[in-house]
Amino acid sequence: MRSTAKNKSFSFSGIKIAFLASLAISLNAVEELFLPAVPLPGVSFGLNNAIFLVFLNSLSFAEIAAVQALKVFVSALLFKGFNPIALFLSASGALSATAVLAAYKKYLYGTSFTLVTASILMAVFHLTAQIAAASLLVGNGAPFVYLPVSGMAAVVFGTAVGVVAGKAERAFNR
Amino acid sequence: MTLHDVIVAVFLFLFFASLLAQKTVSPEGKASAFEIKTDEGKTYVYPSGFKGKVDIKSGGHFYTLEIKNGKAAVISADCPDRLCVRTGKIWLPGEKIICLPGKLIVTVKGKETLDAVNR
Repeated sequence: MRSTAKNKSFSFSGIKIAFLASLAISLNAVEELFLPAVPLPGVSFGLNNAIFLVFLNSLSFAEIAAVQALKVFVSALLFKGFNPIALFLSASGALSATAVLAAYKKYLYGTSFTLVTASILMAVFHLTAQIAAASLLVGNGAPFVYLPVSGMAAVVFGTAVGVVAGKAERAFNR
Repeated sequence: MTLHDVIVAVFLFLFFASLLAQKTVSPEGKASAFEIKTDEGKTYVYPSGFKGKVDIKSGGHFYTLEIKNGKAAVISADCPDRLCVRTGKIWLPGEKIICLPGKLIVTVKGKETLDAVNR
């Protein structure tokens, strides 16, 4: 009996992870269509962050990490031809964003720092980690030349995604 | 969106803006040359007055750099993301184009004001 209950709970979690990962990958696909119009290296709209923000209340750290991992691998396979460099950059950004989201949930969730703050922090940490990873690959700090402009764009996109995610979360919880 | 969110957004935006201002205002002088570094450790330097296209191989990828009117841009690349092409033209000292798959770095080198005075 106990094992059945365990299996049910696991499969529910598995379905949730698969569902959220598919949503995140779909948003990545939308983003890939519009990204070529943005001439800023390392910048992405971070649309898929909205998925984590909207469902943050019902997601554990392990579930967030699992969704991120699935998103990173499937997106790399679908949109980047499983390019190892793209995979490394994407994984480092996702890891950093996951860590900052976990910290937000633990220390700031439910305070006057709303999902907008979480979204901005995710965008900024995602970008900074990617630039740091790119510096590791190149072997010097040259990629940090992109940090100021890309960082400003990350704050703007992070704010926009956070506002939309906040509204969506309220609508879901109504 | 609360006041705390606005403070976080404004603080981070101003932080990055100040980094940008520091880079733009810093007296690195005028652009004097474009330095190209490849993954194989080769370095090529073209004066900013150079006009033409340069084919470069770096890290197994092929790139074409165009230098015209004191500005440089990677106009073609065979890498999958072509971020370097999307970066566009660079002309201010310190600006860079970085092509990650091939680890190609194009840098605008500045002419120090002191050099001009000495001459």
